[in-house]
Amino acid sequence: MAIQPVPGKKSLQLLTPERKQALEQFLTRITNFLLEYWAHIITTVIGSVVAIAVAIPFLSYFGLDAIAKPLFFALHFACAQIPAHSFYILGHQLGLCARNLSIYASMFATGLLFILTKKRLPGIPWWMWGILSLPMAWDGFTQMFGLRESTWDLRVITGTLFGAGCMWFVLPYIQKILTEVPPTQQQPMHPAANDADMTVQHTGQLVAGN
Amino acid sequence: MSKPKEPASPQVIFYTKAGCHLCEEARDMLDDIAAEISYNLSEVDIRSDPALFEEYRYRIPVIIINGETSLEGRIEYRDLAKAFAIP
Repeated sequence: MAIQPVPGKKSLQLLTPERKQALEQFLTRITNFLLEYWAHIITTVIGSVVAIAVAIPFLSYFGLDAIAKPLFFALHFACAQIPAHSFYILGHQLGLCARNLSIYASMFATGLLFILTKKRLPGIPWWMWGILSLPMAWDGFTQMFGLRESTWDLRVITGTLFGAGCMWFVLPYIQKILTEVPPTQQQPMHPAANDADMTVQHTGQLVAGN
Repeated sequence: MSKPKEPASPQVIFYTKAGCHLCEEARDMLDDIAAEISYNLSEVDIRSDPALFEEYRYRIPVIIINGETSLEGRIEYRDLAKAFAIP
């Protein structure tokens, strides 16, 4: 007995072979785009946050509070915006406090450096990231618990170290994961390579053969 | 027989400045508080006095209640309500 299509079930016809192929091609293009430009996207988003934070006082200065105010409060999701811990331009508070501004700005700068080196910037080990984070942890926690009051320059220096450390650790690590080929998918070497004078080992070093 | 005296309304000083986004938010909170209890509000633009400007320029909004309780910077509604003893 032949299988009959259910009348009225048009959704089953949505994935015709042609449409399925087109969908696969579309998804492949998106995947390839993300694999190629993931660092650009991250850096652009972080750069936009910094640009908005710096733009807010200028917008306020020129009387564009209708734009500045929602942007300012939107950035509250990323920062406590304590006035005494913030920079001011033209008498108006930036959208991020000094520490967060330096964190995001250094993240943006490190992301830019990573892109400019064609994603070949070597990463730092996790313990180095920890060392770069320690000054901010010390500065932040001692202030939080009322042991001392930080200063704007300490906030900027420690925030910059932390932000740069995060991106310097994370971006090369992501790139390493994305470019690593699982052992099962490794292409077999050309048979001629076995007899060649030079063979390439998986470590990437050129080794002289017999 | 005299009626028992009602407690005096709190005296509130609100230091602010035009173009200060946090001040606008704090002002809205003070309006919400006014719906709960009455208080006397003095709103002071810190640019009217150089000494006030120097003292509060990096702290505004600053709310002082009865000359004692002080809230400043990013003010949360629950802290303000607590300062006004609103449950």
